[in-house]
Amino acid sequence: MKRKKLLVIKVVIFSLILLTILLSISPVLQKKWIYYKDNAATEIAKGFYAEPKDSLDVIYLGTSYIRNGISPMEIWNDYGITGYVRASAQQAPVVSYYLMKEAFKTQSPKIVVYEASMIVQGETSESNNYDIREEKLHEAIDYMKFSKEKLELVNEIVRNSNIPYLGLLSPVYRYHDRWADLTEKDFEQDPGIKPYAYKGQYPALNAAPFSEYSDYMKKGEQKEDAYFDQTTIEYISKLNELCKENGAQLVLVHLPNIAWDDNKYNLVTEFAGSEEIPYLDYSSNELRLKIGYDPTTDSCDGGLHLNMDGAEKVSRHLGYYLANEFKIKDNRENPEYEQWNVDYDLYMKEKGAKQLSQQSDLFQYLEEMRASGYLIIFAAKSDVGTYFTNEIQEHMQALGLSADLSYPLYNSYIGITDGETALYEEKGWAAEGLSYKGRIDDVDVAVSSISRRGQNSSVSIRINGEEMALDNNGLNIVVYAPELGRVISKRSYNTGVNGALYKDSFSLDNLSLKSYLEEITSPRYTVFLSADKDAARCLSSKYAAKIQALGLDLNLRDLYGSPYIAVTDSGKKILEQIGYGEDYNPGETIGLQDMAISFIPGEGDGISVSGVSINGENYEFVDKGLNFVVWDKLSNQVESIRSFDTSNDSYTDTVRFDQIESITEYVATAKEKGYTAIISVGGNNYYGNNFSLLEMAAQNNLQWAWQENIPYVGIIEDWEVSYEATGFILDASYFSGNTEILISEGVEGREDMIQINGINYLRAEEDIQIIVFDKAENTVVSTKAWDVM
Amino acid sequence: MSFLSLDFILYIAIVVGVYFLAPRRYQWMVLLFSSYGFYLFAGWKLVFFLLFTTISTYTTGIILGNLNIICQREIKSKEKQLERKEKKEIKQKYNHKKKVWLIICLIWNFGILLFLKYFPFIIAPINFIFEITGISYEIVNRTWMLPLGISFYTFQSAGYIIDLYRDKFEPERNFLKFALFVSFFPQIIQGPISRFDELAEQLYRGHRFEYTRFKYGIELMVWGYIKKLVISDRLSIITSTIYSDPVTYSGFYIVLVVILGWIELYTDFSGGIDVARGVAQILGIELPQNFRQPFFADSLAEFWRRWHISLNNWWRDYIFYPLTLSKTFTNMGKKCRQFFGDTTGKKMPIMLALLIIRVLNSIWHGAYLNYFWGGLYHGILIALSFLLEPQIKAIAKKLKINTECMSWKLFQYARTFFLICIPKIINTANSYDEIFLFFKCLVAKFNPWILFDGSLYNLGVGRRELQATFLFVGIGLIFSIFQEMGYSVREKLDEQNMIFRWGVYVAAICSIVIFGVYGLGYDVANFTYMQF
Repeated sequence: MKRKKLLVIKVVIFSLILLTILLSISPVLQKKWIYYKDNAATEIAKGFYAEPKDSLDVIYLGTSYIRNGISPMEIWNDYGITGYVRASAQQAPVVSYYLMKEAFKTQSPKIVVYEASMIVQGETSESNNYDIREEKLHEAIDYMKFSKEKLELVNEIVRNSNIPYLGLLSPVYRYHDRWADLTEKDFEQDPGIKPYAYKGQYPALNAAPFSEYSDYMKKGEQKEDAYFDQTTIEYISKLNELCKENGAQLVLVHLPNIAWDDNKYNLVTEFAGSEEIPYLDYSSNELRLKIGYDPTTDSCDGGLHLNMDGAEKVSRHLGYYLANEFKIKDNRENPEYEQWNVDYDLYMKEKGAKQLSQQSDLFQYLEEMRASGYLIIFAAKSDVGTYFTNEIQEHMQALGLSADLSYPLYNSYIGITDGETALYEEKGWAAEGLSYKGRIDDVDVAVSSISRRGQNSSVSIRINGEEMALDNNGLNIVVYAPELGRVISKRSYNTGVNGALYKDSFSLDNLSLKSYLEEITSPRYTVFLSADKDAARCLSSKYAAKIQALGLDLNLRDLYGSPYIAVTDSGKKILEQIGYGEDYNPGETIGLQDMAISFIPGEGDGISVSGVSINGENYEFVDKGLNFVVWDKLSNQVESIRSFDTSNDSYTDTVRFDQIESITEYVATAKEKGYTAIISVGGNNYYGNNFSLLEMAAQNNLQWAWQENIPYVGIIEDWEVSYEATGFILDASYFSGNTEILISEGVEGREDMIQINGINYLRAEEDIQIIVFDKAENTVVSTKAWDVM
Repeated sequence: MSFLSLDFILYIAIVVGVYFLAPRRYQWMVLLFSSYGFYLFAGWKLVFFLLFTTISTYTTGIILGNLNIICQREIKSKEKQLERKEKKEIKQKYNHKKKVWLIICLIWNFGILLFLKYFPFIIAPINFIFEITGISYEIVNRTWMLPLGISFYTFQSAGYIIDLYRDKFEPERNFLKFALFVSFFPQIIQGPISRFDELAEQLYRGHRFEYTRFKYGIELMVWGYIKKLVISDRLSIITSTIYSDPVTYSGFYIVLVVILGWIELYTDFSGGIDVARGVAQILGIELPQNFRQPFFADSLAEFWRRWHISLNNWWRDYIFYPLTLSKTFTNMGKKCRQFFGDTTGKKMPIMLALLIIRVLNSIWHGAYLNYFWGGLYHGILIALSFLLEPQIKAIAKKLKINTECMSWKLFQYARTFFLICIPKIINTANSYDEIFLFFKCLVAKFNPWILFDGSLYNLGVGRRELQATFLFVGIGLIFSIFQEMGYSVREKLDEQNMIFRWGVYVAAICSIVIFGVYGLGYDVANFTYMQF
């Protein structure tokens, strides 16, 4: 008897040990959808459970389109509405239904938003073919807590497909093959349920424009045969019922998506109408325009998924709709929701990372990093000195790094900064390598830089053991954001012999005068400028200032009746001559960095030189006005020859603003001239369909101009939107440099007006009023008003 | 219900539980119910075939048994008076009677098997006759659904009545108990084929739960699962890739596929047998061994003594011996001795018998002509080696080859393996054209580098998986060496400390879970021998 007891005990203990080991293998083998590569699917699925009970006003369901496309954080910040996106890739309707059923156990949202891309089937989109979508189903199901709803969901899927029961319930059963692909990430301790700061949104940072943007919602056009699937309709109806039972309103939504077409739009609209479910289709022309959807900046993959910018736009509108239509309480002041404000800060950090990643120009990139608190690591590979210009050095100094890498060439270099102060900096000679190892911001940093002539250079930047450097010749830069806990940017800029310096090749010849003047200040260019005697007649002060910024002493507006020639390089004047001085010899040859340069004398009156000869090649100054010949030192050739006829009206200051009819052109012209545009929209009328206003707003990135029946003011200064305000009572003030603008609308005891630098401009009666202000001259150039149609 | 499903494990657990909770007298009933329950999972219509065989062999057995008794009584009653010759005549008389019943029963049962399994061979001559005689009817060839294990239980039951004909034991008079003998579920899918006198008593006797037996049984099952799920199913991915496109994968790939094919077949079949024997062992029943390190055979004949032992013993006992001892063959032997001399002549009928058996064994696998040729190949080689045995020994002596040393043994093993590879190609092909194609592709390229340059990893199984598989093949090889030396792996394991043992158990079970070929992405290949 004793032996039997012992036996039983042994068997029981063994079984327990076996079970424990099998259970501990399961999370290692389980498939993880990690943040970067897989759109944070795992974090999003698990994060839902961390939300406090009954704290969510809205729950969003749907596919990866809505996971990228709605930003609950934006909605929180603008309207104080809380929400979570319980989306997963290719989420089948059955999954959405059961996710919601489970969600109602712990949450009591007032709205359930369902993303409608799976409602309509097509040849390529069988929402309810579970066998095809088997892998995606796991994304949603594997991380669901074990519950009655999960079992029901699995049962439903198993009943309607060939997937084995265990295949869905047991990750080991499904993913045991992963043993051959295990990585370090698989063995990381599972932190359990962790809240997900972006509330279900995967914020895509990059922008990948449509390769060919067209009106993809062509009326009546069908991309493929589209029809309704009975299973889907059944689940939507069930979802609707479920929502009603739980006191929530179902809302259908669709996001801007190139795969949508007019026919599908109609199908869903009809369906929504028959079921009395509100439907917002952001893919429709109307809404796309309204929210200012821009195909070049708002998609992360050429039109299918939105990025952070696109999501922001959609969310603003959706949030507005939800707040007003369903009167959801604004919880921004509610101390119980303080965590949302904390999370919003993190979300803003993510935006910062996006902002950084979208700077392609080296200087803008470096500027964006200043005082950012990021951990920025520079490491050199091969030559970084040849084109390490003063400007680059200045920008690095602004970050706290003081090394001058221009001499000697082939510097090994390691620079680590927090955006303000250098944490470590060392520069070494050619033969030595440099290395650094330390712990900063809670991560292990290991950097090495070996720059040698020939092929033996190498560079390495490791964060927590993982190699992050791009390993290209030049300055390798890695930016780590401590608050986000990950590397947000990896770049390299080749400032060496073979480098393209810091810009991609592009053509100077396509640029407007403003951009052209900005570009040619770059150290890589030597600029030859000739102005005929009438050149300055219509030259605007803005442009004159930019030309002077090339390094010249003269402001060309002061050039009267004399021809003029100048040569500048890297912001320094090499040669500047006005008029026909006796000592000026146009045939003179000047030496300039190994180039043989001489001027070709001109013929006739008023022309000092007719061209310049560089290394034996002649380049003519042909036209009236300003003539530029731009020499590219890197490619050793003339990069651009252009002329701008500033002797006549087109570039003049006095634009006939009053003759411009279109709102869009009015604002564009003001912008082009560098003026400040103050746009005021009244709240008296319904102008939702005023495409002209909306077009202007979209073009200029005005975020709030589309709102209806609410007064609005927007200020565009220095080519950028610098201020926006909206509200039934506008009592706003704006300061910028020497400009002070006060706006009053709907304030008791005061007339509606705009005051600029102390002078009042009464608000016109029409709905839209725009004031064009030249701040350099402190004058109002023009003011115009439009009625809504 | 497949051996490989979790349903089966659950089923076993329930059966074992009920078995040991039941009173010993009724334990065999539990086995009967479980066996028929198991069979019904395969399809209730097919049970009729099983029942038919059971009933027919049961009744024939009783008839034969009764005739045996009557015969004995008759002899005994007249024992004092009769001379040997007369006794023999009485026996002959009864033998005739018995033979009739025996033959009827055998014809019925084998007839069904032949009809269902070898249908195309049957209708071919019939259709031929039709064609000649101008009848415009043609029997269409179909593949009939074979009742589960028909090749196995038919042979097992046939062995029973033949043994009864030989008066080896008393017939089983309890129909239900007999039904259990025919249908015992661990062995019904793919054997081993048992003998009544070995199996029956174990089945009907009750068993106590014995922990050691239980442990050994589970260990055997686990090892069987590893062989099947980890090794065989993974290798089958590679072999099917190569077989499906021999033109692309020619040269050494063909060499590879044959070698891997043998490992695959062995692990598949012996894995299934291990599961079957393991289940039986838990229940306290010992089923005969079916494999004995088959690749350690020093000759082709020896190979067949180590591979699918129960079936080959069946041929030996019920075909080979009767044939060679029969009148026809002894007469043939005499005639041969006249023509070919004593030594050779004596051997000739045996050679013929050997040939017949090899061919029968080969075509037992299926109704394909290439099985016939494969069998013929084996038969001729074995017959020849039997004939020339003395001569070969003489040559070896002359060349001063040491036939006792290990290196010679290894050479023999390799030689045997090489010999069995050739008919494997023949048997795997689906048509004559395919046979020629395989051989052509074999010699088309000379590319031994594929073994080294990583091409092996492009055949459907990645590098790590292949390495893991070969690790287990290595473990299997070590076990085989152990067993060849006479040790029992399980007993050796038992001698170790508990921690080590438990570690091995956990590792083995985790191996199946992690490395097993199952789940989505795989079609869990059924046991090869299940189709017979």
